[in-house]
This record gives sequence, C-alpha cells and structure tokens, in this order.
Amino acid sequence: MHLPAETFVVWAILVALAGAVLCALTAKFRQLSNILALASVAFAALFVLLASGMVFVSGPAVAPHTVFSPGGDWPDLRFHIDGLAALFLGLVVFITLAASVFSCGYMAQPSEYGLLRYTPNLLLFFAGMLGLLATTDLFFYFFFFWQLMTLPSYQLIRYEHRIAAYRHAANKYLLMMQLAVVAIMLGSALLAAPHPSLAYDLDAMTYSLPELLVSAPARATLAFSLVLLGFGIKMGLWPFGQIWLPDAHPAAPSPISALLSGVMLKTGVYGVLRLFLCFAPPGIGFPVAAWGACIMVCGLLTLTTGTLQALQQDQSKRLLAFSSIGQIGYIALGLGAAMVLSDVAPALALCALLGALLHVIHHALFKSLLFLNAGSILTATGSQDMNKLGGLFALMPITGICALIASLAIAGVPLFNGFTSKWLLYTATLLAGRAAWFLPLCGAIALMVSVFTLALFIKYFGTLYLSRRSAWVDACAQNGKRMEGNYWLLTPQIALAALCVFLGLFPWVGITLLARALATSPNGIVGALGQMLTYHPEFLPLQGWGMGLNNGTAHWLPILLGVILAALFFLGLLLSRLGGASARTDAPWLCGYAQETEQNRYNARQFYSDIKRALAWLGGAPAATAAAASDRHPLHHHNRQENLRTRKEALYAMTAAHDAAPETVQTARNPTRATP
Amino acid sequence: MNAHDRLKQISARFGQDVFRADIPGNDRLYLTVSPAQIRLICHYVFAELDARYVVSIGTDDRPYSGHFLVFHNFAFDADGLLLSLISELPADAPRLASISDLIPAANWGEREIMDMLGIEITGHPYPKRLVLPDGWPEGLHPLRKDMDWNHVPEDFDPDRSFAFDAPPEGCTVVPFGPFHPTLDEPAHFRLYVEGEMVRGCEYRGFMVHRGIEKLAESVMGYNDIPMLAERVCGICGCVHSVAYVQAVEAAAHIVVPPRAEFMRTLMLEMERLHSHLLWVGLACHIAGFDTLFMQAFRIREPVMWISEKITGNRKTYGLCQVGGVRWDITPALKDELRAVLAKLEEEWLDVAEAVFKDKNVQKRTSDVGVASAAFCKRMGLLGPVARAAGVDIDTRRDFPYAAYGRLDFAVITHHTADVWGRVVVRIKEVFESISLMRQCLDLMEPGPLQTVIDEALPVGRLGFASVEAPRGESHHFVITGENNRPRRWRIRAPTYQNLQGVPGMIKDQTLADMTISLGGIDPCFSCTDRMEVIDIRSGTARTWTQEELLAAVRQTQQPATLTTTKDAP
Repeated sequence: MHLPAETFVVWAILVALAGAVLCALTAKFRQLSNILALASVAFAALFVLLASGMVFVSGPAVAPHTVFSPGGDWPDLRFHIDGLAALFLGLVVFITLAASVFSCGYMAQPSEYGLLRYTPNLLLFFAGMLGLLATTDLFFYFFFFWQLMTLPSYQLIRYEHRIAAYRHAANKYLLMMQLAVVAIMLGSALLAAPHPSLAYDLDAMTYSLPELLVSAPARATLAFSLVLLGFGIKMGLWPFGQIWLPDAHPAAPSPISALLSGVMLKTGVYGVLRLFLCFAPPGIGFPVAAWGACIMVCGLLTLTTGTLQALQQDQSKRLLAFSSIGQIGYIALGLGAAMVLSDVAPALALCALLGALLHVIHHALFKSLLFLNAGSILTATGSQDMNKLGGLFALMPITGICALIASLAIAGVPLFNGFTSKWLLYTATLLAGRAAWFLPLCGAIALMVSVFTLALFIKYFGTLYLSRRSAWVDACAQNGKRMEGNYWLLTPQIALAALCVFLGLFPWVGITLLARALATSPNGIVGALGQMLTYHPEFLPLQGWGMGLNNGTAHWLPILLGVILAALFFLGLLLSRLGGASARTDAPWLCGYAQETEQNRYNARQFYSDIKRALAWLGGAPAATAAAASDRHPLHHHNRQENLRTRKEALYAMTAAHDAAPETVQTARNPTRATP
Repeated sequence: MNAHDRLKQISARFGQDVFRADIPGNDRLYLTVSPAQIRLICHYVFAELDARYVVSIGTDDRPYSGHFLVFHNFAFDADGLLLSLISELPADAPRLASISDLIPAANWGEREIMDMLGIEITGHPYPKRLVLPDGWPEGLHPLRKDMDWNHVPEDFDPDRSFAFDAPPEGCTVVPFGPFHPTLDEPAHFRLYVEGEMVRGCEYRGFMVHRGIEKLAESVMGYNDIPMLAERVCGICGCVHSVAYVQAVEAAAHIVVPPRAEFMRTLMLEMERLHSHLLWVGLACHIAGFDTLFMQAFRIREPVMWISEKITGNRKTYGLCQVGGVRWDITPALKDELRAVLAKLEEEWLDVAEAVFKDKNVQKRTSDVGVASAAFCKRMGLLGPVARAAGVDIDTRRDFPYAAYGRLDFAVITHHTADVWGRVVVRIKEVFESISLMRQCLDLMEPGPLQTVIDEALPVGRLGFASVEAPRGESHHFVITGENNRPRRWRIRAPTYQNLQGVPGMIKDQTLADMTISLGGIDPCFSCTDRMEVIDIRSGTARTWTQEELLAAVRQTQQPATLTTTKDAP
C-alpha cells in the first residue's frame, strides 16, 4: 500500500489531538501527563519525519491531497507537502520534541498552576502548527488552524495567570494574532480564484493570479500588502514584533517560549515564503524585485531595532525575545534579497535563499536552546532578572556550556552554525552590488548590527554565568551545591547544542538538505531556483566539506580553520606547560580596603550604558515589573500556602518601608556630597 | 575693614553673645562667643559677611581653664583678617551645635572634633567616624589630655571593618583606592556607579593617620616639631614647617630676621616649583600624555638638585627653626640657582606651549571635575582649585608672611572652574614662582639667620598661621604651653578641604573622569603598595599578608623610646 506523505501528517495531527485528550484526563498526575504529551509528540514526530523523508526522497505529490471534502460549495481541506513544507514540518516536530522533553523536567515541580492548561494546550498548539504548514487553504481552514495554533498558545502564555503582567501580555498577543489573521484573510479574499470549492486554495489562486495581475493590479498589490502585514505581525517584523513579542515570550513557561520563538515565528516566515516566493510563477508580471526590496527593508529595520533594543534588556527571556526579533530580521533580509536577485543574479539569489532558510533552521536551534537555557536558570534560581543573577557557571557547568555554544552560535562566531547562515546572507548581499546597488549597503548594515548581537550575548553569558556569584544565587545554591538541572532539562539542551556545533562544522549537511528541499518544491521562485540546481549544480555554494561560491570570490572552510585553531590551542598549551607557567585564582582586587559585597558586582544594568543612553529613543526599555513580579525564590516555590505567606510578608515589608522612608533617606545621605 | 571694624559689626548684631574679644594684631580677631548662639553667629559671618570658612579646631583645655575649646576659623581674604570664634564648653558634658548644614565645608572639621576629642556635635548631618581607625574602640578620644600618647587600647579590634552606606538604587559600587595606580594617596572612595556614570560616593580616608599632633604636644620640643612638620607631607613639607614656626612666632611675638624671611620664601617657592612641575607631569600622565609626563619630570630634576645643594636634601629641607632658618645660600649657589631658573623658564615655556597648543589635554580636562566659585565657597576649596574657578584668593597676598609683602607677583586665576583651569593656573604659577625667586635673590641682604631667643616662650598664647602651599592654604594653629612644647597644634592641609569637594566634582560624570578629577586637586603623595617577595632560588612568588607585614614592622620597631627633647636655643 502506498500512502501519500500528506496522510502521515494527518495522522500526526490526529495523534496530537488524541494526545491532548489523554493529557487533559491525566492532568492531575503531573509527570504522567508530561510523559503522555512527550509520547504523543514523539509519535506524531515519527509520522511527520516519515512524511518529510518521503517528500525529500521521492519528491512531492503532483497535486494536493484532499483530506476532507464536505461537498457542495464548502471548501475542501487539502494538504500539500512539498520540500519547503517538509522542511518546516521537520523543524516544528524536532523543536517541539525538544521542548516536550524539557517540559517533563520543567513542569514536574508541584506548583499552584495545574497542568490541565499546559499539556493539552501544548499538543493543540503543536497540531495547529502542523496543520497550518500543511494546508493549501488560505481562508477557512487557514483560519481554523491559525486559531488552533493561537488560542492554545494564548492559554500557554497566560499560564501563570495570577500575574497581571502576563495576562496583559497574553491579551496583547491574542489581539495582534487576530489582527494578523484578519489581514491575511482579507488579502486572501482579494486574491480568491473563481472556483467554488477551492476559491481560497493556494494552488487554485496561482492559476488565476496572472489574470488578476493584468486586470486589477491595484487589488493584487493591496492583497499582497495585507498578506505581508499579517505574516509580518506573526513573524515579528518591525514595528509589530515589538508590540507583542517581547511581552509574550517571557510570560510563557520556558519550553513554550522556545516553541514561540523557535518555530511559531517561523510560520510567519513560511507564510511569506509561500505567498511571495512559491506563489507567483516566474514571468507573469508579478513585481518580485519590488516586493523583495520591501521585505528587505522591513528585515533591515527589524534586525537593527530588535538587536539594539535587546541591548537595553535586563530580563533574560525578554532579552532573548528582542533578539528573536533581530534574528527574524536577518531571515527577512535574506528572503527579500533572494527575491530582488532572482531574475538578475540567480546564483546569488540561491545563496540568499539558502542563507535565509538555513538561518530559519539555525535560529530555531540556538534560540530554542537559549530559551530552554533561561528556563533551566529559572528553575534553579526562580528569577529571570539578570541583575540578580551571576556566577552560575560553577554551579551549573553543563547548562553554562550549552549557553556558551548558543551564544557563540547566535553571535555568528565562526565554527558555529550561526556563522554559516550569516555568511551566506552577507556573501549574497555584499557581492550583489552589480545587480542592485542597495544590497551591499543592507548587507554592511546587517554585518555591523551583528557586532551588537555579539555584545548582547557577551552581556547575556557574562552576567549570568561568569560574573561573581550573586547573593540571590548564593541563597539558591545553599552552600555552593550544584544546581544543574536533571536529565530532562539537560538532554534537549545538549542535543540542540551538539547540532549547533555540528551544523557549524559541517555546513554542507544543512545546505545539501536545503538543496533537496528546493529541488522538491515545484512552485514559484523557489521552484525556479530548485530547477536551476538540476542544470547548474555548481551554483550550490558548496566546496568540499566547506562552503564557497564557485566563481571563487568567497570561501569558508570550517574544518580547516577548526584544525588550525585546535593546533594553535594545543601548541599554546604545550608552550605554557614547557615554560612552567602557573595560574593563580584569587578574589577580585578591591583596592585593598573594602570587603567584597553584593553591590560590587557588575550586573546587567551597568552594561553598555552609553549605547543605551544614545539609543533610548528606540524604545523597548526594560519593563522590570513583569519579570520582577514573577520572581520567586525556588525554595518558596512549592505550595500555594507558602506563596501566599511570602506575598503577604512582602506586602507588609512594603508598607513598613513606606513608614520608615524618611529616616532611610536621611541615613543614606552621602556625607561628602556637596549640595546640602 | 580692619579687626576693630569687624568686631563692631559683629557685636552690633550679637552684642551680649560675644563674651570677650582679643585683637593681637590688625590681622587677627579672636572672639569668645556664647556656644548656644554659635550657629547664628557662624551663619552670619559665613553668609552675610561673606567670610571664607577655614577650619574648626577642638582642644582639650581642661587642665588649664577647665573647658573644652572649639575654634571656628574664618578668613576675610579681602581684609587680610582671620577671625576665630571660640566656644568654651563645660568639661563634664562638652556639646556644641553643628554648623555643617549651614557650612558644608565644616563637615570633616566637626567630625574630627567628635573623633579626637569626644565633643558632641549635635545635629551633625553625617556623624560618621572620620579619622580614627576602624578597630578603634568607641568612647576613647586620643587628643584628650588624659590619654597618653603611647596608649594602646586593649580592646582595639583589628578585624572590625568599616560599615559603609548602602548605595542608591540601581548603582553598582566600584572601589577606588586605597591602593591604586593613579590615586597617589591611601584613601578609599566607594563610587556609586550607574553604568559609566558616577552618581555619588562615600569616602574613607585617614588610613595613615600617624598621630603627629598628639606626639608633638606630648613629647616633642618647639624646635623638634619643624622637623616633624616637614614630614607631614612628602611634597610640601617646607610649607608645614614654615607654617608651624610662624604660628609659634605669632603666638610669642617673635620677629624673624629679614634674610631668614627671604630664605623661607625662596625655599617655599622652590617647593611650589617642583610640586607644580610634578603635578603637570602627572596630570598629563593621567590623561595619557606620557611624553609630557617624561618632559615635566626631566625639567623638574635640576630643581631637586639645586635644593640638595642649598639644604643638603632634595626634599625635607630641615630649614626652619622658631625665630629663623638653619641654612643660608652662598653667592655661588645664588648664581647657580639663577642659571637653573633661566633654563627652567625656557624649558617650561616649551612645555606650556605644548600643553596649550596641543588640544588633547584641553579636551580631556575641559568640563571635567567642575567646581564653581559658589561650590568653592560652600566647600571651602582652596588654592589652584578655587583660583581656577575665578576665586581670587592667595594667602601670599592676602595674609602676607615671610618676605611676600616685599615682593611683586600676580595671583593667577582662570574662569573655567574645571581641571583645565587648574592646569592653566598651575602652569602660569610656575612662571610667577620663578619671578618670585629671582626677586628674593636680588633683594636678599646679608644678615643674621636666627633671632636670639633667650627666655622661655609665653604660655597659653594662641597662634595662627597660613601659608600658601602649592595646593592652597595650609593653616596651622598653636597654643603655646609648658615644658618647651605647645599644648595643642593643629594642622589643616589644603587637601583636607579640597578632598571634601571631590564627591561634588565627580558626581554625574563618567567613571573615566574620576582619576583626573581627583588628580585635579593635587592630592598628596603617600603611595604604598603590597609587598611581593620572590625567593630567587626557588623562583616562587609570595604575597605578604597584612598580618605578616604588621608583624614585621612591629619587630623592628620594638622599643619606642622618644625621650630626647631638645631645649630651645
């Protein structure tokens, strides 16, 4: 029996839905519910990976597969898995799998919040994403799957609903997602094909598009603008991303944050890919270059603002959320560049497209790793306030090494995967000056902004892991005990970190995979570039085990560099041993008089103050209340009674502080301050 | 307006509260006032009569008059008049209202009185320990006459650490000092830093408090003290010894021979020369202009050599005695000094041009460490810091001493009130010093170096003397006493006031400006560092701990017998 790939995806969705029911029934038994969710995801993942593998190996089905036909004028539900869909589906299941494993450790703690609102919603959310990626419909079923993705994730964001800031964040998220879906559906309505049951089917709309472009170009432009608006809101393009994203990500439990940033944003990217790069066949008068330039500029604004605003953040997950906006900007930049170059310089366009898609994968890997990492810290310390944390490396070394790998990867340091995708993006844009003069400019700006990404993650890793151990962490550690998470928490992180290194050292793996995905995606520009690969395989930026443009203008050989660096490292080590070099560990030198105190720590707030001051107008200044409100000492985290007691104590302390305020002001007065 | 006019002015307002007035000369006015009214009187003098706050001095006068005394000293610079408001406090419960909230400059002076004499200053805005070490027990006050000079308190706790204030919300603490590559004095600033901006600080100093005043009034003689006074400071030692002998001479009405006055003036200016040359070099070094640092030190060296030829020492001249000086200058040395000055003037001009024309130093120091004229008045800032803010004060002109009354010189002021202004003032003052020294060499007549003092000095007299140190007015106070030694000697170095202004100067500027701002007041050199001993045979390095160092010092210092006190000549 030969089953089409689409059937497996349907089964995966059904497994997820069934799993949701099971999890809801077992929600009282926390760990059982968690394991069931994990099993459902794993089971569904098996089907999805099977489907993806089938598509990669034997190519996509010629026509979409009708899953469900209600008859009459009611639209059919059709799935179509081509190479791109297979790629994104694979990504979704992989990251969801990692997040569900993490959940088993993260959500295991008894808490005042039950799992009834967690595991079922996680699976529904998962099913919604699968459906959204698989469906060819852009109206009814799109709406259905969109809400199946949005409403559970809304519930997940307001999981800790007793914190007002989190409720507000979730409401904002819900509102923005509804705006987005309305915009997309309006655009879809404008593009509708004259076919009763398939009016909003992407395949059907493709065939009616050439006529629409001729007869009503303004309508088409409006339609595409609305679609771009909708997916732009979803993927977090400037300025919409800044509205919902930085509040929603820190509010959600960490595995959910990882999913939101790692894959849910990518559904927006997927939408842009579908509608702008896989929709209009080449040569029908669709203004690809103009839309490309538009997306590029959006991407440039997004990556600049997102990254620079991230510099202002002191809350770990909020910082990561802003950085997600920045990285999405890189992806949008690559997609736009690919569109601009698709006619004039196909080899570079391929390079840009590969860069963007590779960055989708890589960002999903390292950003979900970072969010899981922040989750590990949250579990261990009960805080995401980077001002309070510090010196965690000694207490949780494996988590720390994972964070270091993810930080290096996202900052685009060579030998890690982030460098590979950014290298492709920069190569494509910086070398494209002859095709479009503004591309090198955009590329140069993006390159410079990535310096700030590095600064950002120096701050992230430096303050959390490397600085002196803070009083808060000391209290959590209880006499220097290790705070490393259990295997549930560590396994997904180690796996993701290993992939970050592997894809950084062997970029040909990712590129070969993507080349296959392009070759099995028949539609639009993506299809055209995929076709081109069959005739011009030398256009693929591969050189041996490394990367390079085959006209010889750019090379990247990570293994060679890795070997050289390793050799130099061992040479240095050898020389140091031979010379009898000694190292001494000592407490910081406080100029010989004062005792070291908590106040001597250089915390996150103090980082980059001049940059922050200069860029204050960009906005995105930290909203301390949201995360501070959630800060709980992990030792006080156990039951509701305890929580109530600490909250009451805090309240009393607050009022007491008010009464004593004038006195404290007086004693705190600086003795030698000049002004009386 | 002379002393009599001021007396009329003050007694017109506070007639019944001024108990006694002494006018030993036209430039001194001592008023014994009602302690209850001290705040009103001080405020009147400081705010309405616009006097400059000098210092507050406490003394234990119980064995003689049965009182504690507190002196609040003010200067009327334009009149050349020094006013001292004296409060007599009862022996059993000495208590005086604080004036620090009215005159912020009095903050340290009053805290020192509390520390050293146990006089309660009521209503002090920040009554924290200032002078005494951290481990010193409460309630033991070293300058009280009933505590022996060599008393070692049994309950001294070397492990007790200083209780610092909490920094303001959102600020990190950056320690600055006591051992620091650019701050050349053991003082600790606890800087409250928000990002790169300094938002405030707490100061803890007096780490090398050596008990010099107690030592002098307990075991030394009148003519031993100038040698001790020279060792107060590594740079302006001559200033302190001149100020001390002048205070004694003022108290005892001793007239100094003219040649001795010229010798004092000559060496004081010599000291200003090498101090300013050093400072400009260091300022350039702090600003990263090391070429000029090297040049300034190269130019400075001949000054040190000629000092050695005249006095036998590069520094610490051993010049002064009560009533005269110990060294003379020979005609040959005069010529040599003239040659040194001629070369120095030329070379200094080169340096000054380099500093003024190269905009680096100017840009680095402009609008840094700003202390406005009003701020100077409030905090009692002195010397080049005040003159750079356009405050036209100079003890050499306002309260002429030694030979300055007979010499012609300009008081250099500048208007920018920042570190750049202090650079300009000091660079120009070098030329004034050269001119002053030349005038001294020209005007010096042969004559005796020492007044013959053939009877014991009168007892219980007050003597004040101010000398313009390179950093500002150095103020000394002496009460003459029995046994050929003063009952009380109080030194107020200019840095005592200027350091109090530093927190205001560094507030709301970047951390990087801290060193040059602090350097701008030219704090005194007293640099110590940890000791590292390397065993050559094994090649291992070892750092000495504080305990080991202390133990080593105490071993070599075992029997502290200071019995010899010379008689007065």
